[in-house]
Amino acid sequence: MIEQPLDDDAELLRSLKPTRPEIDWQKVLAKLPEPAGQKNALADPLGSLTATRDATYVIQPDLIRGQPWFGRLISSWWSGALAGSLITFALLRFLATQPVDSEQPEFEVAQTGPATSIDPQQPTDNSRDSHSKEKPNPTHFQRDLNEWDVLVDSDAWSSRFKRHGLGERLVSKSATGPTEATQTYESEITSQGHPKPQAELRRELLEFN
Amino acid sequence: LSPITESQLRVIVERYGRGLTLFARQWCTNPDDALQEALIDLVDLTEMPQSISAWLFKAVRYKALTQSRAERRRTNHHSSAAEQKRAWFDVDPSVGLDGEMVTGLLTGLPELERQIVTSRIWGELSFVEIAELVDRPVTTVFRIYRSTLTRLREHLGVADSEPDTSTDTNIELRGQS
Repeated sequence: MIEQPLDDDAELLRSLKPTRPEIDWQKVLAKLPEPAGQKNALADPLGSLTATRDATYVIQPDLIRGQPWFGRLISSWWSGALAGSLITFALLRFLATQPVDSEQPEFEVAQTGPATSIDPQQPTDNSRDSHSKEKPNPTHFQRDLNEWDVLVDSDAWSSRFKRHGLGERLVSKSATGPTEATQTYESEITSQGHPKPQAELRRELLEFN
Repeated sequence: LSPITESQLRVIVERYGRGLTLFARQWCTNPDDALQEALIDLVDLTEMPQSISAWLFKAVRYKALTQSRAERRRTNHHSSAAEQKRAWFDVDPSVGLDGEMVTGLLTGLPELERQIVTSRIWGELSFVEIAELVDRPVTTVFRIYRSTLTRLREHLGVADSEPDTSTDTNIELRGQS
């Protein structure tokens, strides 16, 4: 149902803001399931990465949203200058082309998905707090991104990416390596034109925001 | 797996948290706890409700009432008395209303009226959602909302004119029929 403007009296009352709740997020988030493989990545991010060519990468929206380059992408999106899938492609290519040894990475990518190099019985820290404190070094992930393919999954943004077909396309080309895969995708985009109507992309962005 | 993500939870709390806390304050002295418990229940759901905000208002009310009953059973009421002194609204000089006065007006309302007004104004619920929340017909909810708002206006010193809410009500009533 479309939200209608409140009348003046209600608007006046509404200008008075109720106090902000103090939530113990640790308790609430403890109920959220850990993405598969995340514990292993925390325990030994480099070790698990080198052994898991089937791993899935999650681009964390909160981490990339504040980045200036991402803001520019979104601005382009809003202005209609670029199709959503092209932005997705540009974002993923940006991630894949980051220098391996960059000391000041402009973004962070967290790993999830099946990790095979870690003993599942090995004790791992399961708390969300430890996740935020022990965030894996992004350069490790960049190296892996350069080596093969990227599959975006498991959050509002990434599921949207997936709906555009990006994840499936790239993962299906995992044997060819990132360069060939992205070039193939680029040529597919060029031949097919804009795969998603702009209005739909904007609506999705609005819903997310 | 829970179908909701951490970022979605934070967006929900950012948008509805204040209204939900105010709503819970009607019954209990620790509304933050009521909201927190409701959020935990939300995370536990295997399927998201059609309207998360409406679901949360119901859940928060249940938690607040449960908490209220527990508070009444306690022998030591010192902490509860201290909690009750906490402000319901942020102090903002740029707003032309006194938060304490509005708090007093709200606490003086009958429970049904208070639920309707708070869930509508600070909770952004539609009249249809409020009707379900308070288990009354939509027309009754709107009539109560309108009359309560009129009474509040007299105390707030707002210029005397009928609240123009006919448009949104008509739309909602049509949608329900």
